Amino acid sequence: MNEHERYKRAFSVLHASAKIDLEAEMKHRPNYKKRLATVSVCAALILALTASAFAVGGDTLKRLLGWDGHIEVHEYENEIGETIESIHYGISEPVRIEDGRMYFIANGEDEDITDIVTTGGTYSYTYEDENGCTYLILVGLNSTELESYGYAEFIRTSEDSWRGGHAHNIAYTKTAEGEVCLWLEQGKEEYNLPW
Amino acid sequence: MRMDSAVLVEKYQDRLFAAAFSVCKDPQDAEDVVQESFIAYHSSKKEFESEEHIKAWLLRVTINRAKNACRALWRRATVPLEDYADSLEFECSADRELFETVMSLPEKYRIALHLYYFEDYPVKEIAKILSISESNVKVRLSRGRAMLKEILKEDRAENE
Repeated sequence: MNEHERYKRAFSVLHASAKIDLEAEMKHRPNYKKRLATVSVCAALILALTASAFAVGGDTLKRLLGWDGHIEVHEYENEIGETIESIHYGISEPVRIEDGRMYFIANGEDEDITDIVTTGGTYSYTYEDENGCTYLILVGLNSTELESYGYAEFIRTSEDSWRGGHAHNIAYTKTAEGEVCLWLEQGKEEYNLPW
Repeated sequence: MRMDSAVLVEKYQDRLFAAAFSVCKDPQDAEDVVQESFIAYHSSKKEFESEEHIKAWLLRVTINRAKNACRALWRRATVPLEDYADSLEFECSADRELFETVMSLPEKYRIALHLYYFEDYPVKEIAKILSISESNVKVRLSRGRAMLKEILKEDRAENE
């Protein structure tokens, strides 16, 4: 007996207790879309922001995140030698919704990700820039509607450590571990993000 | 194409139950997840390329819902796995040992092993269902098998 046959025999003992009656079940369903009990956070959530510096003229420019929108951290020294940091957001949406489908469009892509996000999954995309930094973008839905999407972006430097990220439209669900954003947690677990 | 929901229930309910159980380790949660997955299909207008495409979609929905069910605050007290295993009719003790050992592995290895060994999916299809890379699937299968071998070897040594 090979491994497949052994496994199948062992797990074939699993059976549902009763056959599902979909018609009966649908009759008893209330006529509203199930929504998560959530709190929506629209502001950017910045996580553990540190970055390598790229000298640009007199300022030190830290480019943290990619695609068309950036978080740019400008760092400069004032007259008394203090380091001043200012953060600029130029975030653009990584997806577009058209005719009931969602397309991932960051970094010049155009991928239909509807089936992934509408089945409860988290879409993930990575790319590397010329400095050897890896960008990870996560997209997920906070409810059953495509318009409820949230997204997050994280950066890993060439030294192979996750440096920071930001997340938008995070909706929290109460769980045994506290309040979590389910799609974001899935993505973070997948990539072993430290936050 | 679309298939009649009742036909899909007849054909795939137990298989989806096995997949859901391999994730959430509780029979009642697994049943709820499977019911929700069939309702999602029934309510959806999505067109599919083939029956295989429908099955893969159902598995993907089921696995994702099962993962979320594991994290839910409203989750009721689960049946201890040993108690549930007592109610199952294994052909032999080795089957029960394999079952319990697989169920003791981390969730991500269990899911990959289940799709590979129970559903006979190749690495490429598992990657699509789980929305991860093929190399990630191979790593999970390899590590899952290694852990299985280790645990089964230890159990045999203890019993000798």
